[in-house]
Amino acid sequence: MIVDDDDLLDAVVEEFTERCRAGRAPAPSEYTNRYPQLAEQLNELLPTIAAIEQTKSSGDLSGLRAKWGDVPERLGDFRIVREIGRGGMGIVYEAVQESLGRTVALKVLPPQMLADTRRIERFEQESRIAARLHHTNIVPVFGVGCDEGLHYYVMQRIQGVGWDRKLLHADQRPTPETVARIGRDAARALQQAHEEGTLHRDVKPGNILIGDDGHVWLTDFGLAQVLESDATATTHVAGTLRYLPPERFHGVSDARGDVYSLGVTLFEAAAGRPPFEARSNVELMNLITRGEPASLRKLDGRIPRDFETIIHKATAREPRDRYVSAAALADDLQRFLDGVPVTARRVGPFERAGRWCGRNRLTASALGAAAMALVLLAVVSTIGYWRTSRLNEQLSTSFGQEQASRRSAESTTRTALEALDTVFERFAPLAALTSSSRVGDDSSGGLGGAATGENVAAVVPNISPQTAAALEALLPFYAKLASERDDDPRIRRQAAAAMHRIGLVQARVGRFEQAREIWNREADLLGELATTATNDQAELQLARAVIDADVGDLERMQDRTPDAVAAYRRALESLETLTAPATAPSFEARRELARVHLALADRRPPSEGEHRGPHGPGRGPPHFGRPGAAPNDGLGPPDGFGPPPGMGRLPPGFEGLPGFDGPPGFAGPRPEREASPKNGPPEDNLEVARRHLDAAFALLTSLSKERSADVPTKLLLARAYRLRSRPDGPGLLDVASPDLKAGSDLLRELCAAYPDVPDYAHELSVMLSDMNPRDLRLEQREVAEARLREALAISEKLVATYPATTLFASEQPHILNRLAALLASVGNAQAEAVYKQGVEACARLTKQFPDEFVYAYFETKMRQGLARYLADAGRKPEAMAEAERAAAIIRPYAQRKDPPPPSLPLDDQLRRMIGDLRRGR
Amino acid sequence: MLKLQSNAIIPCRRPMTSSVSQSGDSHDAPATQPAGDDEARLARLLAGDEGTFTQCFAELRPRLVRMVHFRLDPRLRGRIDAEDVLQEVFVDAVRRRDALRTSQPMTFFVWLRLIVGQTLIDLHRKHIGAAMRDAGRERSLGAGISPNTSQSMSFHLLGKLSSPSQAAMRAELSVSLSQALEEMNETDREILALRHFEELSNKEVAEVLGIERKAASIRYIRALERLKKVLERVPGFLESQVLK
Repeated sequence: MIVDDDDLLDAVVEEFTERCRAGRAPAPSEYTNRYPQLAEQLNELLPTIAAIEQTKSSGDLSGLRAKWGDVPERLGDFRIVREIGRGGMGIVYEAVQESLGRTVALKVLPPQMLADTRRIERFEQESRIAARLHHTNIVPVFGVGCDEGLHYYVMQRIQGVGWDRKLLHADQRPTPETVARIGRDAARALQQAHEEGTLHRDVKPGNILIGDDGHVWLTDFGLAQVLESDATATTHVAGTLRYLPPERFHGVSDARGDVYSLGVTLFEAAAGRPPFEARSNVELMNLITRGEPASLRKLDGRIPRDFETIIHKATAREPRDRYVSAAALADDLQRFLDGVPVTARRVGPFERAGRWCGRNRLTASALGAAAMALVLLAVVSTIGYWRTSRLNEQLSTSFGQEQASRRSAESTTRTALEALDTVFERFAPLAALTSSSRVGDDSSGGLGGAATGENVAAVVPNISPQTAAALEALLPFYAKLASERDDDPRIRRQAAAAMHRIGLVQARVGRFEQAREIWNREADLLGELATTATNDQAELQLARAVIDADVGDLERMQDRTPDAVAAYRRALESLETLTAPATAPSFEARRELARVHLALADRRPPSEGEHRGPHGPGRGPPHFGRPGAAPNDGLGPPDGFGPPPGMGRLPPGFEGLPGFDGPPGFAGPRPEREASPKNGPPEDNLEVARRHLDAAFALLTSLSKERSADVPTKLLLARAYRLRSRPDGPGLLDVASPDLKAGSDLLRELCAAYPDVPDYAHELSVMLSDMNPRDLRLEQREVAEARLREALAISEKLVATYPATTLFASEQPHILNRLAALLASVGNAQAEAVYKQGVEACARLTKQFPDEFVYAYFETKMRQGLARYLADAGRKPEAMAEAERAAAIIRPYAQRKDPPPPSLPLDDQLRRMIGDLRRGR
Repeated sequence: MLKLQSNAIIPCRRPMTSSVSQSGDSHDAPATQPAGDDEARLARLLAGDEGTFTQCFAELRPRLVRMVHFRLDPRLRGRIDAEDVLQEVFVDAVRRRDALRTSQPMTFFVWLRLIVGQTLIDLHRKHIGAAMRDAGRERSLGAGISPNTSQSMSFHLLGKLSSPSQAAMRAELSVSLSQALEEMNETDREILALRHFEELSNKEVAEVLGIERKAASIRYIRALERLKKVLERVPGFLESQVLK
């Protein structure tokens, strides 16, 4: 019969498959030994077959049925007449109880499901409880029995059919009234059982029998529990998965679980489809536990609103949101049938917010416990408000009803918005320098009362990428609120403000692209709002300028100086229009203008090295050259920008870090390329920067006269002092200058007043470490070292406390680099340890953000510094190893095609350095 | 029209390929039906004997249930019971009994399978409605090729691995498995489905797909090899079997 190997192979495979199905997967070796000529193929195929056969769902009960053998003719006292139904729970027969001569229904349970005595006891116990239940809508249970190894359940024979079949075969869906009537009767039956202490646990259409006379019967009480806990019964549970309440997946069952299952049953009957449709059990389970159910009226607009409200309440995901009892559900269904108002309320946006918090508990916990408590408080108070207004709406009759309800609707929306606003202020209170525009807050003109400094949060939550995600998840509430209030532009304005805050959080945790994206969305929204007359146009323009300024900071954080300058200049342009003397410019607009002036004034001291880091693809020709080489716009050298103002939120630039240009005394290779002919002389650029700084000082002086306690103004002033302390042209830095002292004093004051706001401490560490060790006066080296060590201590504490805030982590390498360079220049052997600490700090960032070139660049520079130190110390082999490690980090970026490599003189430098070391120089 | 490859016209129970069971091990292979019995039954069946019809249907029932379970759209699981489907199939089969005679030589099983396929199409259309109504999707359930085979396979391969605690991992697995199966050739996928999920023999597969037995066998082996490559790419699939 076997003709050739192909036939043989197929036959072998088939036999192997059969044996797997019989539950005894043989070892493949058994076959490979027997058929060595097929060994290779069998080794390939048999494990796969075994995997398929073992894994595939035994969703069908056919295998099980096969083991049942023939239909018994009688069981104990019962003579089987005929089979009347089959289901996951067994086969139901019509039978005659001969001793009593009555016709009964026998449910014979699958033998496998009652495999051990413990389960049999449980089954008998549950049956006894079920037998005690007496209710007009519960199928009476007469008892249980066992014969020929088959366990069965004796019930009254109902002349009728399961609701599932009735629905399946009906040409039309039942009316909501019919569904409500059946649901009411079933709910009353459940209530009776619950009062007796029995849960049904498996309410579904198949367990609701509709008598030929229309009477409703609930059946199969408690059976689910007996069968479900059996590991082999998973298929059964899967079969009724769609009716399971979500808490059941955590092993919780109570009366409200039955209410849920009945609710789903009614939903499905009324809509012709279940609330959740999924293609797999896994997906279904996810939907049940996390998804939003379909809306009944969206599926069928003819379904009455009250009916929908009842069903949605019954099927609420959280048990506490459901009817407290089956009786309450029955009563509401009755009210619906009687045409009187139901007690269930439609779920308002804030109840949804509350439910959101509950459902997303994990995400929410990322926001921190204290912050979470605040959200809940806000939400709860909002719901309270909402309930009251709703109640008023229902109670107030005749006179003034309409006005009353309109008023309450408005106050509801306001409360809701305030709650959201509070959440955002707490989670993203970083807008110290941003117009945070609180809608309806006339006094502060959209600046959140920053004038007094009171709105600076006392606690800054420990933000993380999850915080940003959680906050983004709140955004739809604004849209919902806005749509409920006829797309109220004020609410949409507030949504834009929320987006801005989210962007700031994203930027802090190093998610630059996400920040950019949400700010783009915000800008679009602001653009739309500008077309409506109701908004304050000047305020919108300011908000857009703030976006530009923040984008500038973002570009600078990524070492894209030309783009940063372009963004600052956009901001500058619109702020200058906005603050023209004729317009009576707002305090906030002028303060923002001061911030942008400072950003543009923040140029790099000319004595610092040559390369400012990579420029991204498509961002114009890379500029690197002698210090002072100007970018195309003539504003200043692309590398002429030191740390970005970064105050309050964004980190000081990475690039303007003197320490990264090598220890004093080491002359890095000069760049070969000449500066672009467009570049003006360095002095001009210095002059431009100086003018910006002067403008900023003028503005800040008058601002602080107007509002002496304004915290953002103080921050900006401190920053201005820092910039002014830098040497003007070639010269030495004076770390004891009055400017530095004034700036540090301001910041120390803020740190003392707001010990929990890390941003002030961060700014202080930037101030303390803003120096190039090469520019130090000899006698100031000790002071400088003390300052750097203090900066380092602050930074270490920040990084330990706020590990997810990349803003803080990315500052540390710069401090370490400068400290190491300083130590090396005075021959202090600690330099090596500090360099190594810096290498580690950099490596962590590189690992965390492999796509951000800027961090790889830092790491390379840091390793290069270490290599130079080692070379100077005469430890050439070690130096060479370090230089090679440095080169290995930068190389993948230099070689990558997409995006194209940034310009990398660093790579050349390293190559040359390695070459020099090799030649023993 | 399909050709009968052997005299086993009504393989009410699948004959075991006993030619390779030389070890005499104890796995319970169903006894091969004597050919004469089959022929006699076929004759009675074609003659319209109701008892034979009912008996054959009852014997084939588990296999048809398996097909329903496999082919039923997951969205309808729990809403439609396989038994309901088979009741309709039975009624329909009795009504069309005369057609059995004219569709000879087709085995009774394959003939019933066609009716099951038609019934499922009707049910899907009724319950899922417009989504099913594009022509492509209805293409050829009758011939045994259903549009959702890869989804069904993925569903059944992972269905058992769906304890709530593992749900998240499974969801990912499910997506990658479905995608991987989607990349396979349709006929190959169908052959695997028929052999492993509907548990058809090679002979029946050949009959259902209207190809030679030999070709069906070769395609099956190749498809299995491809599936193995697919499964290897689904993280944790083959491994989880080992660990299990």
